[in-house]
Amino acid sequence: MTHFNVVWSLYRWSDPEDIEGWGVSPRGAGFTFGADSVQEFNRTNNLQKIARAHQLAMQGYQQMFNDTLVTVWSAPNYCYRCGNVAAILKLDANLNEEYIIFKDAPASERAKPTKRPPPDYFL
Amino acid sequence: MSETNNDGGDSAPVIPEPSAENPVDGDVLPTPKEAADAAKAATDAVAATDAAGAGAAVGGLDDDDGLGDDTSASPAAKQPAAVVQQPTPGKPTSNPSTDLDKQIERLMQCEYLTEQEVCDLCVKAKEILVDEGNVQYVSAPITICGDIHGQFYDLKELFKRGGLCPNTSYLFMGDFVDRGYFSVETFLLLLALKVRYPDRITLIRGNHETRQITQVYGFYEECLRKYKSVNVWRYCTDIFDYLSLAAIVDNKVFCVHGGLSPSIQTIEQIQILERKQEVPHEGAMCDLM
Repeated sequence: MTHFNVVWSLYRWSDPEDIEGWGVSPRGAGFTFGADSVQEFNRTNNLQKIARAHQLAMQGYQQMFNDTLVTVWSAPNYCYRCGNVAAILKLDANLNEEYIIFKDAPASERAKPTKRPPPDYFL
Repeated sequence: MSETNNDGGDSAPVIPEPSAENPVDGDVLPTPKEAADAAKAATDAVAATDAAGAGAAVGGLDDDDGLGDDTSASPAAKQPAAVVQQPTPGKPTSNPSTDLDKQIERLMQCEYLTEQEVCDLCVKAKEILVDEGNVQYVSAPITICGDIHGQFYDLKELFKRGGLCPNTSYLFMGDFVDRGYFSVETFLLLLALKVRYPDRITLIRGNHETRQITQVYGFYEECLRKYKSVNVWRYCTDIFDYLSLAAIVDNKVFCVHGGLSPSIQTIEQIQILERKQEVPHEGAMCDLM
């Protein structure tokens, strides 16, 4: 097992899935929850929707469970290589939803990270 | 596990690959066919990069990784061995808002703050965040954002499209750091905006806002590289403990980083969780993130 796997498997996070009630995450740790769990939570707490993040949505956002849950993802071209677009969810005063989709910044507008100071060529 | 060095040389930070062995946050969501095709293309690209790339692994959890075994903050989290000074607030200035505005201007240019400035900013941020609830109640209109992961220049794109804070009210649902090249600048910009406009921006905690995860996925290494010490990482991870776990917009839209928990039925149950700690490996707080 790599370091990444060791650390990842220590934690238990939950993700939505098309199941009934609660399931075990395919990642081996954590839970998955279905439409009925969302419906129950929303009814109990008098809510109309859940917005969450955590999972890469290639189209920037993804609605589930009759639009009672949405995943919003705001890192375009995730890790600088996944090729996805990103989204933000704009709620107006009446909670009407507008999803704004955006791409990663063009190369001309981003600086390259540097680890070391530039070499001194004139020594 | 192989990594890719995007810069082609040995000077660029290494980003852990999203792959089956090193999962992205959860998995890529199941999508319609077009999206699935796009996802497959992206996966193929990652696989191709995997095959070509080779680099040193980032710091892991071995005892030879340069990290100490001090577990004072959490029994589960390893702490860096380097000596860490207690935050010492700098002298108060005549006009803190103006100073903060200047810092925000610098951060918007992707210039990171000095260690002392980070220390002072975190002291102020803690004073604000400590009074926020586990579930923060906010009002519409508001713009809700997902993972950023240190992609600073893409965050600037986000602000271009969504409007600048404070003109637009924002709710960020966590995962500000790790993976991208500019976690320091990204988190400090969001934190500076929080201190400057506490009622116009809400930050909730994601699963990457933890000591343990940031030691593996880039933020720790980035702080060390940029500041030559772990102090800034320590200040920031201390602030992570104070971030809210969820938010509710106009009593109707529940916002959280990860999802629901089988042990949570009501909002009140979230409100009474002890949140000011390193994230436990299991339980309600962990499930939500």
